[in-house]
Amino acid sequence: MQSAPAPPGYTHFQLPGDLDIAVNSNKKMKTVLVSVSVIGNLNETVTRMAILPSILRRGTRRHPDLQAISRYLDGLYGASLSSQVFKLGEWHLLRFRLDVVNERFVPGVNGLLGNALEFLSELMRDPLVVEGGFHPQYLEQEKANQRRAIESLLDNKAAYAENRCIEEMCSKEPFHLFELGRVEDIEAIDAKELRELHRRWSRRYPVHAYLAGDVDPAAARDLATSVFAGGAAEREGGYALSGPPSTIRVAAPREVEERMDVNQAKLVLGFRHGVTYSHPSYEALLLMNGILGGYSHSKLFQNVREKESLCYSIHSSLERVKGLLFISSGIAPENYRKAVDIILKNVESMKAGQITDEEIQATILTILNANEMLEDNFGALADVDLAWRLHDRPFDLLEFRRRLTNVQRDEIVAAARLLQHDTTYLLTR
Amino acid sequence: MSIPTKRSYSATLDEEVLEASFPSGLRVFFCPKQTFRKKYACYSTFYGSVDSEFIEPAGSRLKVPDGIAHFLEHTLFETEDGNVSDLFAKRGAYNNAATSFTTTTYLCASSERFLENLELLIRFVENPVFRPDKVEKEKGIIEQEIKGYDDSPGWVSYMGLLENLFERHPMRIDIAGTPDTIRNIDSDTLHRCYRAFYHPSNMVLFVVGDLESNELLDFIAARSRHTSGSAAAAGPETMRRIYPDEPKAVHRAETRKEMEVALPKLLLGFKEVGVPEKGEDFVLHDLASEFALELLFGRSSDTFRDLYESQMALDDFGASYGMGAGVGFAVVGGDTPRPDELRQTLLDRARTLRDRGIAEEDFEREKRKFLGAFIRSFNSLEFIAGHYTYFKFHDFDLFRSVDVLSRITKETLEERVRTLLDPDNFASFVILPK
Repeated sequence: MQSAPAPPGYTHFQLPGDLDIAVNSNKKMKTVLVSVSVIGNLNETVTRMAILPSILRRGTRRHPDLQAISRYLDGLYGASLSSQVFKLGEWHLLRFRLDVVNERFVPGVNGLLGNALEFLSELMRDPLVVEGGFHPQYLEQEKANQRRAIESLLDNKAAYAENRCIEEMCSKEPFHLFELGRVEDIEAIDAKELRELHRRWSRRYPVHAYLAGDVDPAAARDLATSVFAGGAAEREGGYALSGPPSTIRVAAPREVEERMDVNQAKLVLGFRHGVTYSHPSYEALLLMNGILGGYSHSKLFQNVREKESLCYSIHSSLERVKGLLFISSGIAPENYRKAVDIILKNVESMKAGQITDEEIQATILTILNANEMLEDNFGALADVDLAWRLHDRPFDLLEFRRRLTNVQRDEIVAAARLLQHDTTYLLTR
Repeated sequence: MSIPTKRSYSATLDEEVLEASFPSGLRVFFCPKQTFRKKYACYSTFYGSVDSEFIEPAGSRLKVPDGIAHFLEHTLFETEDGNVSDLFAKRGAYNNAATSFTTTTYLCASSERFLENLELLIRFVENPVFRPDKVEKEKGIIEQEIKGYDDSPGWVSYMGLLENLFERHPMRIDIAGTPDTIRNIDSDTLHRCYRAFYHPSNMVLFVVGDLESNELLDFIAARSRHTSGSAAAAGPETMRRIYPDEPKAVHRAETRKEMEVALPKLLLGFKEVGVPEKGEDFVLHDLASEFALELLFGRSSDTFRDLYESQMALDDFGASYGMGAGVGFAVVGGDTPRPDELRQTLLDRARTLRDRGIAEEDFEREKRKFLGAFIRSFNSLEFIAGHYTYFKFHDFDLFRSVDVLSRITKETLEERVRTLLDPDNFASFVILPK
């Protein structure tokens, strides 16, 4: 290895009440990024948790409507606010991000970061409250929006098909829940009850706040601490986060077919492998997925798309908390059987050890390059840091690269042999 | 050997770009980014789907099938040594390509062994192989790609709106073409398009990352065929683009289409002809149009607030401006439960907003937002390379955008609104659930 500087990382400060603040000081960014994730369990609260970011973004006590919030952010030189609701295995995460220009680039301006942090904290903790509940009209509108957001998954046929495959495959596990929740739960959401859930959420659920930019680390830590632990009396912590999900043995693969008026059929094959971030075979699994279908040099892309012209798109992707793998493809409806056969043949060839040194080397290089380029993307770096942290894996990119480079062929074959084909899902006309 | 360069520096951004020009007309730019691990290059030609008719360097006039620029992009990936994606993948590098209305760009990125990847990028873009059997095989792949777009309500409505706005101008052509038009593409026509538009004088190579500039430029000069020879040898006027006269009036007021979607979608469009094509005028027109649309329809506007609170617009509602080859267009809209009501409301708004003018306070606030967004975009190497190139194709230095922004006045925007949002000359595209 050449002598590159040590990869950047986040320095963590653990505060009482399950509050973790992580800071990275770097010269690369022209902005300061604040990314705050709050973690809960994926369970029957899914729909109510998923509506929280939308209702919180409608108004705070000090900025009581959408326009007031938007105009305040514009005034902070277009600080960009985003929120995200997603699953990490069988955990349910709400993530708020605020990216604000470093005031070094706007001469004569002071206090941008402080104002941005204060605002983010206000947005998450101090909503507009009417008679002890969320604003009733806002809530009704956001309920309608949430219903539409869930239903419009249909507009993206590839995402729709992947989600349907998960629903079928994990129907008896919490993982089958869609991150935005269930349409049938929406009607019953009540302004006061939701505000109570929000209060518990903001006091008890574990919080991971990441801050990155060209900032003085100690000052940034103190600022973030004072803002996020500001209501320290408010922070109780103590939420019981569930452990890693259990794995299931597949009896026999099932097939699910759904009809819709589509031009291109979407085919999704779901597998279980049970390997997570902290598993000794993690690096071997990454390589296995890369060789199978992660990249354009992969077997699936080469054999299904290039050699047979059977599809426009094909790739395999890993779920690394619950331990699943999905192969997704867009095909002509009449090619369904042929495509499934070729895909499964490629999986079998991996299990039989038909992997060349060239494939291994190319995939190692691809993952190494991507991992090194991660060093320039502090949002993504924070996400990886958090995922590893939740698996008690120390965030050490150099160690990861060493392990990756040393994976042997038989370990990749062993990882392939962990794949159990669970469900074949087809969306076709 | 040291290749002479021109330096452009932005104090606002604290960024610099070096430019080396070669006698062939090729321009190479380098933006040093110390400490970044990623190194990124894009090799672009000022050639896209709007270049559907032209006079060849040899002098004959050629009208080409829709989708050929995109098809050519695919063709270049097939080299004598196999598919270029495989070659990049074997080195662990990221690579891709994209065709837009006016440009085609080939790119690669890696942290390690970057110069080898750059060499490959240069080699495959400059050494195309036109084999009839490969061209035939590619038709199947592109047809599947087109069918994927046909299921995307966002793309269908956007291209559908442009077809309604423009009667003859090639801005109405779908970038990838249709299964029917690409069937007529052959290797000879592809080759002729390549000769016309992949001339060094019509291309820009942009590299950004932690590299040494002299070493990099020498490396490029030694490997690129496009750095040798002179543009004059190929004739200074290598090709000439032909665009039909486009009437000011929209082509078709509305199209409605049923698709498998959860919610209807409305896009409302306004067109302009005779818009600037080069230099500061181009950039001013582009920025002022975006700025005006953001003031009228952005998240901080009264219009957005009213539409959102009456549930006529949702989170994805927005407005954008597009321009190229002498025409421009504004697109406003998004998902909506009531598309007809939304269209009527937007048109009513357009009428009042033309008369009302812009509040000073709103103007100043949005200006801060634009400046902040511009500074933020320089976090991204892809943005720097892509936008610097795009602006260079229009004879402008991206760094000077900040000056243009500072020259935009409230009055500029009011004029922009009056010209652009003509409530008697609009088109719309509506998607309805099946």
